[in-house]
Amino acid sequence: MTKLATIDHLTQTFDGTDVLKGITTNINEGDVIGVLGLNGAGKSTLIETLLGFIPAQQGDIKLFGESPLNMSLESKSKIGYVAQEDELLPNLTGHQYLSLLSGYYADWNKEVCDKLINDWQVDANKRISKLSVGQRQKLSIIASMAYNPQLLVLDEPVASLDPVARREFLQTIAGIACEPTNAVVFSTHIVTDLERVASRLWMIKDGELIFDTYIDELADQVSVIEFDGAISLPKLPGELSRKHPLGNTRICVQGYNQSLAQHIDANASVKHQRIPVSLEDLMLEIHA
Amino acid sequence: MFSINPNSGAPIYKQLTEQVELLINARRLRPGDALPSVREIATTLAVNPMTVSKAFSLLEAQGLLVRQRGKPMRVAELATSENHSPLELLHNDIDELLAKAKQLDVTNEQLIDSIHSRLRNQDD
Repeated sequence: MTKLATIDHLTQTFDGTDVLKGITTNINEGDVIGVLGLNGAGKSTLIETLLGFIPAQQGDIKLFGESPLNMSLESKSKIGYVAQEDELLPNLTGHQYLSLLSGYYADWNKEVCDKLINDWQVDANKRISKLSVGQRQKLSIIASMAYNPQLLVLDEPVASLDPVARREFLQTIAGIACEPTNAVVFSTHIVTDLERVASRLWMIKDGELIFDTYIDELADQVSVIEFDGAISLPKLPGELSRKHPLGNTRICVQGYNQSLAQHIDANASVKHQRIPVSLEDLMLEIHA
Repeated sequence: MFSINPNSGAPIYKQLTEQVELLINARRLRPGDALPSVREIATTLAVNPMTVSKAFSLLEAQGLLVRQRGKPMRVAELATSENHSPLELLHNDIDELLAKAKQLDVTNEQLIDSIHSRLRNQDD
């Protein structure tokens, strides 16, 4: 698999706080990576550093083999980006804005633009300043897709979209993913969207990449086990969280195998059971 | 044709394979019928295309679908309900029941007795 990007021990410190802590990962062709994390976990900082909007203080990033701070035009034209706050030009109409951008890209596809404007019911004859937040978000997404970028990066793209537009957006992402050399990275708070369309999960907590896994393998990587009653048990290897809902004990743990099960049985006074969890449950288990 | 529920706890590829099996068993998909392409299914359901490919590969390995170069997947000629009995479709549910019974220290005899008696009640 060809790597489109590598991130190696990236640490970002702002005002004495580590916003990103030693993140090491990569983006492969074919990946659709969903980025999960609470507000302030570091998702946007990671995306903005990856794309070179913020220089990396420690660590190394390569994007299409180049430093994101000093990229060739050729590499730049392979990247599509949608920021959390749109960066549209408010005094232009949607059509004027897209036509202005089209001058900068050799591969601008007006048909794709027109189709999405039609499908997503964007009023592209209106001044951008008069559009709703959702309409502006759609326009930003259309602009990022119009030149068929190999790597599409979107920071909470669906936050202002209604359910119909959200579904259409996900269908578009699924279509992009059908091209095996493409990759998409998107952050979201809607876990079920991620489960549908992503092939890979980055979960970020307090600046650390606590999960970097293909969704298919998630169930093997993390488990939730439950005990009746509030039991005392020394911290388990790979333990991520421990809670006591309704007087019981619930532990979220990385990996689960025969030897861990035996270790638990040897140390706990009562039997445990492994409970199946959805990604949403897991998110709450680890964060709430 | 298919519907997907990410909240159900069952992996999406499994939901897809089960639905294809059900359609074949219900004879709504017949031997020789073509399935939609990976791209069509992925973009319609808004699911990752690799998930759809994985479901297709599993169904191919089970002998339910056949792959033809450059053409859509087809339902295999021998993919009849005899090869894949309706009972097989209940295996997951039965496994779940067995696991639960074990947790509750219910013996095999008790479980079988209970199934018999509930069946009798249903027949009444």
